[in-house]
Amino acid sequence: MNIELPRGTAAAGAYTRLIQTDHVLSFVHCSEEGEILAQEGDEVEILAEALTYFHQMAALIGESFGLEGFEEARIQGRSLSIVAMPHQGGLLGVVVHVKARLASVIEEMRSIIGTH
Amino acid sequence: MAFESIFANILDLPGVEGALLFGNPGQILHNAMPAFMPEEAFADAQRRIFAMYETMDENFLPCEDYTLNFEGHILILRKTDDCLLLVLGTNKLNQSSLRMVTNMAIKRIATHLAEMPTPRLNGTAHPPVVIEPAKTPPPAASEPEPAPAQQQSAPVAAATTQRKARYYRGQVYYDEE
Repeated sequence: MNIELPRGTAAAGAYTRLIQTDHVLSFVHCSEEGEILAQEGDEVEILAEALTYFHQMAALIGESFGLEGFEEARIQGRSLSIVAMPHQGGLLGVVVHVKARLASVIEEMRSIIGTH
Repeated sequence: MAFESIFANILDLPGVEGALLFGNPGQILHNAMPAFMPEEAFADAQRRIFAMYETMDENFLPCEDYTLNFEGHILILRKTDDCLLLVLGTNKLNQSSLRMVTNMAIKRIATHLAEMPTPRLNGTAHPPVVIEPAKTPPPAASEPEPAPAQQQSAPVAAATTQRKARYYRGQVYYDEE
C-alpha cells in the first residue's frame, strides 16, 4: 500500500477497504492544486493531474446551467470507469473495472469522506 | 422533425428537465432545454465540455459518458463520433431508464445525421449556432439574411432569426423580442 496517511487511523482503514473492493484498480485523493494526498495503484499521478482539471471543469459546466454544489461524477470508458467526489477541497477519484458494483465503491468513498 | 421525435422520447422520462444536442464546436443541432436557460450560455458550456473530454481522452483514457451530480440535479453527457448529447435531470431520474432511452436516441441521431448533407465534427467551418427549425430541412452552409418572424416555415438558422425557437418537453416556444 502506498497510502500517505498515518497507519491505523480511521481514514487509512477506509482507504484499505476501498482498494480491496471488487474491481477497484486504483484511487487517488488530490488537493485542489493537484497535490497527491493519498494514492494506490498504477498511473495515479496522471489520474491526479487529469482529475484536478476535471474538477474545475465540472464545476464550470454546472455553472453554465445554473447548477451548484458539485457532488459526484461517474466517467465511463469502454473498459474502465472513474468515480470522483469532492473531498477536503480536492477530489477523491477511483478507477474501477466496468464490472465493478458502483454502489459498493461509492459507499466506501463516502465512508472515507465521512471519516474526516 | 426527426430530432423533435427523438428528443420527445427523452423528455418523456420522469425527472428529465431538458436535453441538448451539440455538433461541431459552436454548433447546437437541437435545443430542448428549459426556456429560461439562455442559448448564449450553451456556447460556454459546450467549450468547457469539449475541453473536459479532450483532457481526459489525452491525459488518461478515452471516455464517452459522463454523469455529473450536483445538488438536486444531474447532467449526463454522451459523446459519439458525430455529436454530443446532454441531458439535464433531477437527481430522482432513473439513470438506467435514461441510459436505455439515450442508447436508442443516439442510434436514431446517428442515422439522422448521416442523412444530413452537411459534415459534422470534422473540423469544417459551420455557422456558429444552428438550431433545426421545426419540420424543415437543415440550414445550408451559407445562411440567408435574417428571416422575418412570420416566415417560420422557411429553413433558417435560429441564431439569425429575430425570434429564436426553443424546445421544452416536445413543445416549441419562441423568444420575445
